[in-house]
Amino acid sequence: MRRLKRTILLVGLAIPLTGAFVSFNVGTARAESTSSTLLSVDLLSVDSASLAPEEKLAKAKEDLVRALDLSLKKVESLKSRLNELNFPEDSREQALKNGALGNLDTYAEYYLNAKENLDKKGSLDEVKDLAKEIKEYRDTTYTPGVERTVRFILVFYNEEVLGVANDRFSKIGADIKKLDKLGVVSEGDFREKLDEVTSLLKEAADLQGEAKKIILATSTDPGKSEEPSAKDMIEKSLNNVKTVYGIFLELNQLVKEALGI
Amino acid sequence: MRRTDREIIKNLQGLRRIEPDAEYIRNSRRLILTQGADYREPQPGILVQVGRSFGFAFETTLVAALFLVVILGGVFSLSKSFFLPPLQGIDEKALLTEADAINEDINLQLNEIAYFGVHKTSTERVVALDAERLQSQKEKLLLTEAVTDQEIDKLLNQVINEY
Repeated sequence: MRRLKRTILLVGLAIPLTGAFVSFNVGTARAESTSSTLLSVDLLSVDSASLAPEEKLAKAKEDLVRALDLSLKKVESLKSRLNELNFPEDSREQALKNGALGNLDTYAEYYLNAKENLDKKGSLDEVKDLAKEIKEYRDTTYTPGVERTVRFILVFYNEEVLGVANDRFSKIGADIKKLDKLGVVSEGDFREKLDEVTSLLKEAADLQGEAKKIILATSTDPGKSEEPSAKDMIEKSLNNVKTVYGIFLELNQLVKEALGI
Repeated sequence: MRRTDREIIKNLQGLRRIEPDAEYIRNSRRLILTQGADYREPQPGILVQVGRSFGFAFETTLVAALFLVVILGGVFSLSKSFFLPPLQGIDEKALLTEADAINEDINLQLNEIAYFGVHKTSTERVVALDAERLQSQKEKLLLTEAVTDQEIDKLLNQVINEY
């Protein structure tokens, strides 16, 4: 009976639509590549041997100023990402956010001081020593702290992305049910894919939940150790979401094929 | 030819000139004209009449429907989805846009966290990230916070080692 209904509908569609081209434009909707956002990091090579000593000093200072400016920019970017997260005033999340913001202020202060110190340096060796100090600071203090902050941001980003993916999945499920009721597709034909998505999203949510527990139980103090698995959990969870979107696109193709469009 | 035969032929030839007399013509014409005024076609039965009515209605409807199908077909051909209910979930354009945005965004986030991953010093990170980029030349490295950090680390290494 269902096959008959489908045949009738498809024949009904086929008569007026003979020769029509498919209206879904698979390729055109794809966003333009993000090539404009690419940044070459290989532009820094310098032929220093041909430079005079004063030129070397000027170039070294120029590079160090650039490094410090980028560092300040990075700190500001992290602060703005943190400030986009809203939590209840007395929550653990808010306390950790405030701690992370405090750490970022400390890093910014360090970089600003370093810039002031650089102005006072009169020799290449002094500039090099300052660069070493900054490098040491980044390796021992800045990077571990920023890594922790990035994980904190990512765990909530992960939560948000999961919400979007679940919402999309609900809509796709509803569409397939609608088409099944009309008798134009059979929900059973998509069951395997739908179950796979359910399983991936559940695993992603479990991992995100676990990572969040770990991160909320940990201090943002860079000196304290953190359970390393939180990062792996977030990575796995986000990769699941990427896989799920791949399946969504497959489902879209399968539905189109079933409808003959 | 015998005489009798000749007479018969002569008589038959004479028949060509036969015509009704004037009175017969007048009477016949009057009779025909009078009958025409009162003439009625034989009436078909009620069932036949109903059948004919339905047949005509069916044919008219069919022609109208086919006409509509042909006319509207041009419009419908622009989109088969016209016949389908609104499908928010598998709306291809929205889905593709969302999938692209999510994938790109997740890649940015994963790149950032990966930069701080295994390698703890700036020198190790720069070398590792460069090696990774060489390994997968097809995969473009997106501008991320991680790239900013890599550039910072490179600049510092350059100041220390290149001048």
